[in-house]
Amino acid sequence: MIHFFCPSCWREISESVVMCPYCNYDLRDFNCLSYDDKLILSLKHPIKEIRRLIIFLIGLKKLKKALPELEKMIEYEEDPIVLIEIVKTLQQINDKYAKAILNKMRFHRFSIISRYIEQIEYSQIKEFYGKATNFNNK
Amino acid sequence: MFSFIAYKKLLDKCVLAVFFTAGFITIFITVGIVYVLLSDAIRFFQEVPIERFLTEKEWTPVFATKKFGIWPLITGTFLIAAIAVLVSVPLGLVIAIYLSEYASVRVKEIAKPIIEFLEAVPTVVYGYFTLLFVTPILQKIVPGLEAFNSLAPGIVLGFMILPYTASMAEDAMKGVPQRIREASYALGATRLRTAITIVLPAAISGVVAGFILGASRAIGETMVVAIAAGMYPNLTLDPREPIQTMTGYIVQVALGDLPYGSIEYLSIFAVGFALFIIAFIFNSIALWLRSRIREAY
Amino acid sequence: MVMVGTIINNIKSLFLKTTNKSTETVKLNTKNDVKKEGDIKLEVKDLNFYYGDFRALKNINLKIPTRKITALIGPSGCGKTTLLRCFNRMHDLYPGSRYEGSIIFYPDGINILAPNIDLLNLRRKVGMVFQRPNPFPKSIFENVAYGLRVNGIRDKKLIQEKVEWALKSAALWDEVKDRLNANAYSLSGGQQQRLCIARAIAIEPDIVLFDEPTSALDPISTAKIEELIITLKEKLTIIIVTHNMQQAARVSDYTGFMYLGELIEFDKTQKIFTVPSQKLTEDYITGRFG
Repeated sequence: MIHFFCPSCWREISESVVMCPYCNYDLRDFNCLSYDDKLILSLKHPIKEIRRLIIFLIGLKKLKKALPELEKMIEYEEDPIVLIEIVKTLQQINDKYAKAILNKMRFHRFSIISRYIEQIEYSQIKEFYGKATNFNNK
Repeated sequence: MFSFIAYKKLLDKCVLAVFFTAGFITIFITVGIVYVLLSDAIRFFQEVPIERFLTEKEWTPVFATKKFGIWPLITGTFLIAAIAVLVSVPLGLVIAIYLSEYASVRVKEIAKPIIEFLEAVPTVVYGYFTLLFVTPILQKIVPGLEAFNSLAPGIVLGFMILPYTASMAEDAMKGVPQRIREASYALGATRLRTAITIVLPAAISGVVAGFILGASRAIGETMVVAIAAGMYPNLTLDPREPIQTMTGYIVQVALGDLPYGSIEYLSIFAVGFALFIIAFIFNSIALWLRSRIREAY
Repeated sequence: MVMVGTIINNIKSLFLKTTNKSTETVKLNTKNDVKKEGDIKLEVKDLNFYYGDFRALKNINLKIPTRKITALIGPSGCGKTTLLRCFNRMHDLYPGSRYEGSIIFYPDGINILAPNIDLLNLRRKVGMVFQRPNPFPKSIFENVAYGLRVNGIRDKKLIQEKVEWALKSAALWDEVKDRLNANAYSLSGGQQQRLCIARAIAIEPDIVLFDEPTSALDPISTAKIEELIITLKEKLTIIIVTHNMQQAARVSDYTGFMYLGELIEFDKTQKIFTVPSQKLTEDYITGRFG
């Protein structure tokens, strides 16, 4: 069975309704949205796999428009795996704003996130110098 | 409200009591059977030493010179059971493989009840069917076949235990998950190869358990052999000659008018006890094998 | 407490996995367009498939590129597994299935759906890995050797070599080389699935079909299998049905989105996920329905 969800409150609705019966969101508005905006809306999706995918795709598209939403997300997101996906995406986008959010995440309430960032940066540095020494040896 | 709960509780207790009694009765009956068998068998062995029972080569308790060698009865029993198994195992395997791997749902729906119906036929019908129909036909084919013999009842017994060999084997093979078959087909294997090298080994414990239960049924079977195999304890492996099985002997003596407590009368308990032990061993092996069916696939 | 510990461990090992690969960051493969005819392995033309009266696939047209990973995504019941099982004619095992249209297998140019095709030969060329690990209840060695024996290989030494090669290709050899005679069910779920992959590639097929290969596995085993699938594409054409869109995005080169038995969109994976051309695809990716 295929289930349809309201893109605003993410409750299950019927396929044919024009207006969400729960939050009065007008689905005609949704159909006019661009794919990028739909992606940003879906950051609030209740299924964490979808959130993860959306964050991954934002990184892939380097969608800077989504950064404010991601910044809000690090406050309320409870799933560490989704948070880690955010870290990866921020690294991929890698502009000033993304770096600022990343810096903020170093002091994330989940210590596991801050440790993850440290670990990643450490391995990047190691890799960088590793390559440099290899080059010298040649 | 309270009375309703109290009533429910009472009902619960009553139901529990009924189930407990039912369960207890079966245990009680089993214990009772063993007790009767054992006590009379012990009385028998007090008069006839167990060495004679196990070493003599003749079984003539109702003759003037009494001999109590159990072996003619045991060989008779096993000869018939062996013929039955020789007929039933290959046939049962082929039927099981056909039904579980090849047959359409409709064929299965028709064929399985028919096979299981073989069990519902009264055994006395099988007995006269063997004596009056199968033996005369076999006499035309097999030279030297006597009117009473072990070949004909053995073959008929082989068909009679098909519900065990074919049907139980089919159940066991049906229990093998479809995804294991699909894995084999996806590698380009034929149906036959999948059935023989994948499904059958995966279901082997259930299949063999069916065979053993069938064999133990053949060993315990009475009417067919009493009617068609003769009443002649005979230490032979020739299937054309008349023989007597353990059950056949018990029927013969129990139907006669032997005085209660005489040695002839007691002998049927000794034979019965020996039969009980043999059947018990067979069933235990089958149960043990069946418990292994639940292998993780 | 114990549970929390294991969760933390799992997350940690996930980190280690990702940190190892962090420098190459997840990239989608975009090189090599489908240009020449020689690059196409399978061509599906106007495929309709029926279960009895139910039309499960509707006018599918699709070109599967050679030595690439093609993913099929879509909500459950959309027919993606049904389509996958057409490629090795697995439906033929069950009565009441009917194909219309054609699937051309290149370079031979034969129609897979032709009624007179040798199904056994087809299935040797098109291997399959199933949703749940389904090793045979035999030893690890026998599991892999079975396909070789089915193919008529009798030479024991050759079988041994090929089993070793297949297990190595499936990144399982080091874990099982000391216990090849152990029952396959003594392996963990992820190992069992890699054993199934080894079994499928041992007979050196041209194509391997993966039917949601990681849906029954934990994230670490999933990551291993995904890595393995990527290495396998050097030699094989791979078609993977997956429920997990991120897996499709990470692993595949081409992606097809299916909905209610129709192929809505088929394109390079990067394009499907970053700029889908159909509204339906957009809505599915963003989780509007599922």
